[in-house]
Amino acid sequence: MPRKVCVIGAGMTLFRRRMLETPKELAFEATRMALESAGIERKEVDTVVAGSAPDAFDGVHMKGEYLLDGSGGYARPYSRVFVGGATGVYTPIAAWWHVASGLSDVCLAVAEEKMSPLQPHPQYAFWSIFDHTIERPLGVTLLWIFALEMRRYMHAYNIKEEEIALVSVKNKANALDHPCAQLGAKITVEDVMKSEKMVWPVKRLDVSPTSDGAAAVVLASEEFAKRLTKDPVYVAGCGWNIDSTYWTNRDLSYPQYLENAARMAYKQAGIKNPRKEIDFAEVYDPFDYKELHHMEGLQFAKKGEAPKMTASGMTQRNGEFPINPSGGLLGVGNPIAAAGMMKVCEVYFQLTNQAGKRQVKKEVHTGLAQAWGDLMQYSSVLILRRN
Amino acid sequence: MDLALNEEELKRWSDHIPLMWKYTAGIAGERFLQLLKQGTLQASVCKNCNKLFLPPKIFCKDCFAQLNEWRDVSPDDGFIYSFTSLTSGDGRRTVVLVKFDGVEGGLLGFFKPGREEPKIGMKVRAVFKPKQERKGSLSDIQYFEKI
Amino acid sequence: MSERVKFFPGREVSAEAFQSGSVLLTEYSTDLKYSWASGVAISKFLNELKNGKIVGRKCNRCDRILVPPRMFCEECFRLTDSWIYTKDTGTVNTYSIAYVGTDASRLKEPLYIAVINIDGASPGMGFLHLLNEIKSEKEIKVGMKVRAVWKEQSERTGSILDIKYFKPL
Repeated sequence: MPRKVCVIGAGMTLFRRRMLETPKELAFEATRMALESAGIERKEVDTVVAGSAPDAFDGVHMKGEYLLDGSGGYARPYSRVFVGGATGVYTPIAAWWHVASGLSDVCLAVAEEKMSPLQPHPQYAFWSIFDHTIERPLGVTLLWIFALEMRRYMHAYNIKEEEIALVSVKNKANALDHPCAQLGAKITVEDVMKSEKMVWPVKRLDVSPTSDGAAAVVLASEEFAKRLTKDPVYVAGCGWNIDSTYWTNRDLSYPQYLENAARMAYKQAGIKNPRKEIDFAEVYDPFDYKELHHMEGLQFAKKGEAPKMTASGMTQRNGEFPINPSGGLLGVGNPIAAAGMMKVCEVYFQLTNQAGKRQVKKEVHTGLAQAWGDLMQYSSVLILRRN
Repeated sequence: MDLALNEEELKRWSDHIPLMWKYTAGIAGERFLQLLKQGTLQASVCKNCNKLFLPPKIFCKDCFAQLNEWRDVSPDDGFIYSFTSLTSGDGRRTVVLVKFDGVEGGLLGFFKPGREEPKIGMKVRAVFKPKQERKGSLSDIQYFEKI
Repeated sequence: MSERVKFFPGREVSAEAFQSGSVLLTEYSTDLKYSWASGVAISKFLNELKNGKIVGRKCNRCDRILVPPRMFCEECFRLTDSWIYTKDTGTVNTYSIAYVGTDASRLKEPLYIAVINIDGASPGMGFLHLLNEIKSEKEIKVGMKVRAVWKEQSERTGSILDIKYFKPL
């Protein structure tokens, strides 16, 4: 049986288009804040896991090694994990193994991304993630694959662009209350519809920005956590799963791999009815349709019904089932691995009543963070619970 | 595996990935390099661990304190920790890793070209380029020379 | 905010400062050159494209005809068994219209792109390609039947671009 594991602290930097800090310095600032929030020092940290997405953004090969000192990993058992966009939620899952296995009492999970160095635009790096022989010659860009998935999702369930745009409107408004947010804004569905067409149906305001930033959490054994607080936040469950690399052979309208990951986490957490037993969730929203797609994969809504749930207002921060009270990637920003970790931080802040103006109205005990990545095929799910 | 293909039928696909980056120097780097431009060498100080770091960092890798204090390091106080020689199109150059007494880390640079041969432990000083040629870069130190 | 979460660190650099160089910037560029082995399955696929044919690979255990072809079946985790020629027609699984290029700059003409499920392969088996000879954007539909438009035989090189695009049937 794995040991019980708790989250005892969280920290993050501002998310911005361009930051002065080096990647190491960003990692340090988030990690320092997480340690301070836990009320512990680095000398009490046994192991460290760093997470970061493709090296091409920061422009530093072997970013794990590069981030080491800033992540607090010097002279410790340290490693970097990488599952594309899903890295931010996968990193604390890897940290969970370190503690659950009994290997360490305290493990730091640190995620960093600095996308601004890549010129002329960070999107450029994504071009080389596609198959070099049968896809790249066509001129493929990352947006294509999202647009194709969004179109298939719309087709499968007869969903309109306007229904999807509601997610962007909600998340950007939520982000107005996040002190780190890059793109908090009061916008309308019409603004989204009229925004620049990028790769239809994807429009400018359907997309999260590129960002620099870092975020970190501290995980500890129950015994260690109980020395700091009587009422710790527990890791209730985690799951991860991946679909085929042959993406053109997948069912693009439904993320089965996420359902698999979610069921793995729910089983561990003893959750039978996720919609009733989870109080709020931070689901991965690099694009507005992804929030809906993921709500369905997570079994919060039936297939094709997440747009109705969104339109009903249920997923608003003060609604019955808040989704992305932080403001999500659409509002807070998308420094890839750090964005997923930001979601874990948000769940922790909400469960410990530290979310300030973003604190959801209802009392919350169980929250879920989810991220998604690799070539649109990987999902990582983490459930936190406070009694 | 039944290849069902002869060797001539096996194909390759060639392409290239051009990439370009602009890096900021960071909080510590920006200050360090601006000072270097002025001809000054400074290290950041960890008071807990009683350590100086060069190049400076905003954090102590040991105790993880945020470092806000900086202290002058004399450009004349260096010694050669290690060196190597490079031979390239434009001749032979000697790269030195220079450390400073009581300071953790060190600076990479070139040894002054000429007859003098570097030795490990040799006392050296950093010689800066003329002020108008400095750019806020490590190359503002033209070379290290024997004292 | 609770007493512990008060201040979020970080210093932004404005677009102006970044462009004007009022912060120190170090620039590097590189051009990485690669030559990738295509492997058995994709070599055969490319060679057959040169012949004006699309080829898949069959797994006898799950009975699927896989396109793009691969020498192993990812579901059964065994070697696939035989080459199967498919048709050069198919159905649009999903499509979109690209207005921006790889570096996020605007394209002069929008590009119609689609995942095309290939006739003669198993359901859901297809690949990414371009659409053209489209009269109006409204004409493009999920489920639309399309046919490959090939380059002249003399111009084919054994490339995915030996198919110029797919056009409505």
